[in-house]
Amino acid sequence: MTMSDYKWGMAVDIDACSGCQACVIACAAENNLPINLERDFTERRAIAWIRIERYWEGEYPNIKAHFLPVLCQHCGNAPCEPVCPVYATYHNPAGLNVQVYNRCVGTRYCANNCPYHARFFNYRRPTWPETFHNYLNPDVTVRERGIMEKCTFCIQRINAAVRIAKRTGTSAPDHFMTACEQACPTDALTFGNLNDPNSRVSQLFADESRAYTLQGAIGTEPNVRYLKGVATAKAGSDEMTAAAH
Amino acid sequence: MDLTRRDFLRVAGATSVAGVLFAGCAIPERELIKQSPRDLPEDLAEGLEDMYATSCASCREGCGILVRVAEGRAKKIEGNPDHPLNRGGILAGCLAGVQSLYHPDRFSGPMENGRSITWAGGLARLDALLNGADASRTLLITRANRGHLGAVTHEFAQGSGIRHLQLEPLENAAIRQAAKDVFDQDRLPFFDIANAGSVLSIGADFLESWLAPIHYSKAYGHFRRGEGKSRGTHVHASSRFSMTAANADTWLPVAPGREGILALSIAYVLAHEGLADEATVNAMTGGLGEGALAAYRPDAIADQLGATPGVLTGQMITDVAHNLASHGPTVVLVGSSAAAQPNGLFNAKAGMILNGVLGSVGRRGGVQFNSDTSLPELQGLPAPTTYAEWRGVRNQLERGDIDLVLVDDANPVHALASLKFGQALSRARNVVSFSSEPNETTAMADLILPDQHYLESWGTNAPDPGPGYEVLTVQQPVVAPLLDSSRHPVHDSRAMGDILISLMQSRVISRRTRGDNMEQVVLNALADLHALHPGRGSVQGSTLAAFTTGVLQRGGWWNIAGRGVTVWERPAFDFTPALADMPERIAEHADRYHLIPFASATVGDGSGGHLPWVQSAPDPVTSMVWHSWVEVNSREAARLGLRDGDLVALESDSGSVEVPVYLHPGIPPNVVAVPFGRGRAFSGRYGDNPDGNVNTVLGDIEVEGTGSQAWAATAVTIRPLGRRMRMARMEGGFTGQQLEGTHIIQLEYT
Repeated sequence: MTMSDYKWGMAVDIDACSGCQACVIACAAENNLPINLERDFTERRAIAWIRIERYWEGEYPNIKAHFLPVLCQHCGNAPCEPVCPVYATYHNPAGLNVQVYNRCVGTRYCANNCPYHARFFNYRRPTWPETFHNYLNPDVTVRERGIMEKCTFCIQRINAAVRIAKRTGTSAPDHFMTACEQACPTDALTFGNLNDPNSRVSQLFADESRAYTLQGAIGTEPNVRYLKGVATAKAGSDEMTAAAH
Repeated sequence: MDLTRRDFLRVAGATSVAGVLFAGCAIPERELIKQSPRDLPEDLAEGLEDMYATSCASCREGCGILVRVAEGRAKKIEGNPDHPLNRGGILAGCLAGVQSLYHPDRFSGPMENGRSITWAGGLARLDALLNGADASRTLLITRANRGHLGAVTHEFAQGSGIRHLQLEPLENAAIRQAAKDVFDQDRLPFFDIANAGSVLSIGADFLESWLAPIHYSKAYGHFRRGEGKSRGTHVHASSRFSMTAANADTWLPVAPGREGILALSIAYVLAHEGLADEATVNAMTGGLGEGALAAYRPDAIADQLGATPGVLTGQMITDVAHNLASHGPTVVLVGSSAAAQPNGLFNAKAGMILNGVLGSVGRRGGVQFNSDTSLPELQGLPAPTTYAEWRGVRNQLERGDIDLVLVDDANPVHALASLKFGQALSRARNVVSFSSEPNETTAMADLILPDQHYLESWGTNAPDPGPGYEVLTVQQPVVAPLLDSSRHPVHDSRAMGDILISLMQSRVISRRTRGDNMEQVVLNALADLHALHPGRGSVQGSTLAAFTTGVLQRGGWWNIAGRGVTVWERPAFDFTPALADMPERIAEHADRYHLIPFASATVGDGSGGHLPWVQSAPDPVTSMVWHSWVEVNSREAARLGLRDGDLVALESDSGSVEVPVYLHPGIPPNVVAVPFGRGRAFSGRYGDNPDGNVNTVLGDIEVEGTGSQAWAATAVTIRPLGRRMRMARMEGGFTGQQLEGTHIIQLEYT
């Protein structure tokens, strides 16, 4: 099977996500994300390809918090793509929204147009102490200052798995997981091939009672779907509107 | 031609206009595919890489990890999907192991009084110090270790007559004592969350810090969404709204110190309505039955149990009891702040007894007892040192009764700040540290002999608690120590276990472990396992070589078939003093607050505070990073005139801590919460604010009957400092993305 035989997608079960941040650090470790120092947070320039948003519902004593992992939704109709003046972001045959680092000139139009805040700009040249270079992933480009970056669905793992699958006559999803999915201790993330109707991710996407897309109403056609959380009867309303605190 | 970035943008803009004009003459998609970035690393397959199975030692849980090694460098740590504790799961602190391995502030070699020395000189100095000091005036401080390094350390201390102290920053002495008193078990029991129908956690923040959070998180995923089982229901009762509370279906805000009474109140409902295990109720009440529990009738005491009056009602407690009974099997977990009250042992025992009342002891989806390790050298290792014992040691140091202190992989100056341990340690004549990176304790050491990293050395871990059967996680070196361009070690370190073994050999100290170094000790232990369990367990090599290779490939050995039968001799329980001993509940809107410190899922006890991934991983509930904070109820803060980021001093009779205010809508108004592990003053370039160590404000209060610290029983006042700081956190870094009619969080109702 070649790359175009696959369509990659991810299901995020917000009922299972405990909010532990393991995926956040696993992603940083796998994809050579710059170290987010204190000033990166205070200046709102921290880079996190996946982040856990926390939403409050109510207040003491009737309080609930919901965790929502947010990453690039790899939209089928991606608002970031048409605004790039140099075609640095485009849709590849496997449904990925891909960022070509050596084309990016840093206009940041794509980040402005992303409704999920999933794109991050390197305002500074990422630097690591010399000894930390030893743990950088040799399979992943280190992005320069002035470059836009975002979740790739661990494309280096996808490429390696597709190569193995081709060589062995097997299916690529048998050979890998994304770094966030692999780390998740509660198995809240499920990645896989949406072209295979029997894959677990396809089955979860098809769960009409639970699957929904983030802001799907604006027509972005995301390849990430969320599985509804569960509220006990005590909550008392049909559907809640959560607001970021 | 000099082309500036701005010029380039202008040129690029013009080119894109041209591109639009000629769009009809080309096939952009095809062109784009042809020019895909095929020379980037993501598209290349180069080099060989290996995955090594070993044990994570970033905390004491003893999980299995896989380390990806390429070109002799450890690249990434992943959970070992084969390991029975974590089954591939991992937390932020474990992932940062590669940062501690390659930390730029890691000591480059042995040092004496800040000057580099040779290993020969360092070891000779250590030998001289040990020979010159009276053993009774010498201390050996390590962190709690249940593996072969723990055994070697214990043998060395015992054989030399030196007192061995094991630091456990988040003490579990009350839980261990309760397991002993209620279940007659020396090892912590296995809580089978994965197969439970409902979970009641009382204080225990089991998804973030309590006992074995990775193991419990993995089990929780199955508990919630397991194949072939219905979704489990979770009730959490605690004084602070934690990450575990956020995950629960129902949160019961209970007053600090009244958690055990809540457990007995639930037990009363079960006994009264015939939903309880009769044998347990009869045994624990001396045959009196529900009558012995009448004082705990929910209607009678519910109002006293809530964090503030009125938040818990009798009906709520009754509903919870019904829920637990109807969604069995139920497992009850009790600990964290509930076990860190003056009556923490009562709370812990009451929670464990509730397991019995629910008929969950010995049941799948309930509580099962763990078997001891079969290796004799790991049996009977001493329990971690209690707070009361540390206080005695502090007094000894202050009196000048201690001349020499050896410290490895522990930071008592930070963890025991409430005892002002640092001041006392300065009275010791010599402090020798085996730590490999700077911290508050190594800052006081005159001789530093840096230990090897756990990814460079041998060891084992017999996890406590285990998963219900015997497990030995094996730690092996996955990379050779790093060399510089002239082939000298960048971090010239030696395994402390090897040093202790050679000291024992030169002093002719008898041992149970066998081998001239830690590698031989571990391999000999595997030989013993092979002989003790022929043809049993996860690896069954016909030869010792095959067995050893198999164990190293899988990251350890475990024996699922060796799961023991849980036999419980139900003890009688004295209920009378509980209500009389109920700790005071601080009134709402008084000028004092219950201080509930907590261990965040990211920073934990602070031992990884020098690692940037640990510091920058947002706290799950507040999203705070890089520095400490105090959680204050939003409405209470408004009443006090406090805003987000205002700096305040929390003051107790013991000390004060300076922290910024985080407005928290879920914390009770008479409670404030500060994370442990912050305020690392000497943790190299990635440390945080030195004023934020909550240990400095904790009262000198013990959990009765255990000697451990009642760290959640301090009352504090809030004094505004008239200054503010910009809070470092993820929250607010992104503008809201919710549009009218599109719900970000969607829920289904059950």
